Amino acid sequence: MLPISRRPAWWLLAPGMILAALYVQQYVSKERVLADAQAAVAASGLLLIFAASLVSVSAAVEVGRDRSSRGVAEVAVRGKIIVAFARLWPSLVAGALIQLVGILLLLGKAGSSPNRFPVLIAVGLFSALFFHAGIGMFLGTWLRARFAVPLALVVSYIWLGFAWSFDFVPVRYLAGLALEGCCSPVETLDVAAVYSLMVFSVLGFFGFVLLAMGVSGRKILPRGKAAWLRVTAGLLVLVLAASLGLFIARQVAATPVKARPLSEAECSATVPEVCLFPTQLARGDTRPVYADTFEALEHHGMRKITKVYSTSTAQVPVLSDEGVANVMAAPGQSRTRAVESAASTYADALTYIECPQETSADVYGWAEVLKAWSVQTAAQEVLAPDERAGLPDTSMLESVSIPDETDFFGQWSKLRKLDEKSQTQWVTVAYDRLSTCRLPDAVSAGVR
Amino acid sequence: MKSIKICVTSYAYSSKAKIFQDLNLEFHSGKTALLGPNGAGKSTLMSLMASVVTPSAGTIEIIEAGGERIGTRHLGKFRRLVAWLPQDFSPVAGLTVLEHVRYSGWLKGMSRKAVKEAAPQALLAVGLETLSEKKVTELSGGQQRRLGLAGALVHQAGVVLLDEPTAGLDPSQRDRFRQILASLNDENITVVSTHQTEDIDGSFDHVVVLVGGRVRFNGSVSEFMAVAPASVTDPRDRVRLAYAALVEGEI
Repeated sequence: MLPISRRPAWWLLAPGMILAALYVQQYVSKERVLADAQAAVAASGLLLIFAASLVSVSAAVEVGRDRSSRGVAEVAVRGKIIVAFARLWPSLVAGALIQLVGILLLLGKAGSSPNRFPVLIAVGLFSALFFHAGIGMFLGTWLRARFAVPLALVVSYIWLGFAWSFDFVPVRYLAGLALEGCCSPVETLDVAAVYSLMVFSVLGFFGFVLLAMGVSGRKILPRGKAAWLRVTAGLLVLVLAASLGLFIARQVAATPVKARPLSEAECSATVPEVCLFPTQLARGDTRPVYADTFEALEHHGMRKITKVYSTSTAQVPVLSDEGVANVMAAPGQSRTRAVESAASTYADALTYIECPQETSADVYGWAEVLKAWSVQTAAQEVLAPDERAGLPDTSMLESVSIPDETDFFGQWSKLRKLDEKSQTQWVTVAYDRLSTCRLPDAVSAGVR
Repeated sequence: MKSIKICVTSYAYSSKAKIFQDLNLEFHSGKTALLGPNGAGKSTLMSLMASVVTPSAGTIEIIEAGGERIGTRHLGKFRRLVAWLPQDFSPVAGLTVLEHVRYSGWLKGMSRKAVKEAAPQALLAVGLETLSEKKVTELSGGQQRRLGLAGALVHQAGVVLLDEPTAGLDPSQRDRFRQILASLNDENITVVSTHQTEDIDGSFDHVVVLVGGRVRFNGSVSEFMAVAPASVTDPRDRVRLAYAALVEGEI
């Protein structure tokens, strides 16, 4: 009955959409969401900054219009909930549209994806808007518009910012912004984070509705017990909402993700066997490159790799004693990056060994020399000359050198000048020593 | 013939500020002027009858011509029968005149279709039909009051409560309101609280005088005027003197 053209949400929709679109284009990298619909929708969680503030502000304006009137809404036949809904729905729809535009833009960045549209994340983000509608409704009912409107904006922002940065992790999931941390090719959503958001937001909305109903009769004396009962009930519902939300999210990690089950990985028929997730394979199959790289390095004396995964599962370390490697594989990864990722595995595994503090800098430096050698050696075997142009510059070894002690770049240069057999010998021995926190002999000293 | 019956055992702002105690009053079909000095409880009584506030103890019910009683316990049904224009009427910002009346009708439970048909009629009744596309915030005080009346009347209520509808208006706007008042259906219960005693004769059928939360007078206009000394012949003077006599010491 209230014309849409008179609704503040309608006017705020265009700037909200523009801001959301600019944000997505400027600050969300394509690599972050490539071929991953789940990550794309989750990344739109950041857009709550715009959507939620629009909802709270327009709700405060809408409700404030009834509040400032006299002789119209007080004698309504229609229920308060119906009137509130008539006031709030444009705000919720406008907020949802902003969120939806962000989701569509991000899905556009992601491109085709092997995983289905994550309805749950979208519903969770939309439900967060109810909480902010509740904030606007309560403040718009309680205070004059000149105070309620800016305060609604501030409260929405403070809540989003406060909850996101809170050290007690479950609090983050009450606001919804933290869903942005989901997901990756190797990680999937921890649904508890979304359930926490949904329960808190919807219950919180009702808490604010009760609070608003409690303060709506402020001009009427006596206030009556019902008003105080509603305020008390509203506060209790808000406490209940927070408690339930925190309880549901109690075991969610610092980011709302869980390792993707290895059973979802698709394994190649290569030797070694390489198992990647569908998202990682969505922009090209790099499994043969991984297999070739490990095979080439095995010929140069490195440990035999039997199986390759790319996973965040704690049970699969970077390199296990059984020869299972855990690599970093991204969708759309080039052959060059795949070789680099696979060849770095040996050196990366060394950085996870806990060595005494006095040797750790040296171990790291030597591990970088090993990494440079592994990458360059594998690249020679696996990549065409033009593909090798994209390999990392080995001069970065200068930055890890320890002044007056070890010149790792110099050691690397000497290593490259040795014949192939000597290189293999030195690398094999160096790797074994570094695996037990012992430093290798300098290249210039020859091979033991 | 229908009526609205008020049996308020107690109504108070606080334990120290009792407004009504054992107030029994019945308004019948026709137009009733509710008179009284400031603080007599006129606006509070109107708010009680409009169901904006509820008595601490007591009942307010509308008795239909057929004898059906509708109390404030059935709030929706009760409010459908009541139109209320408070003294400090303030429109809902952000709407045009026509949209405001439609919104008022919708709040009163009318369907979209019904309110679309009734709103122009209500504006016509209060003489705002030419301003239907104007923003409500651009209306003058008198026009806003008429807008409030249009919103109150749009759902064709049987009980019309107008609280000081002409207070603060210029003479031409007052005349306009008198005309509107005269056009209201006499089968309805129309209660108008006012300070303007000069309008009593000719515009109203009944008079109720409220003083200190108690009914000092309740009767027909001729009975009210009979309170004035018989030597006074001018009707306006008779009304003024009758009122002064009834609220003596109160004004």
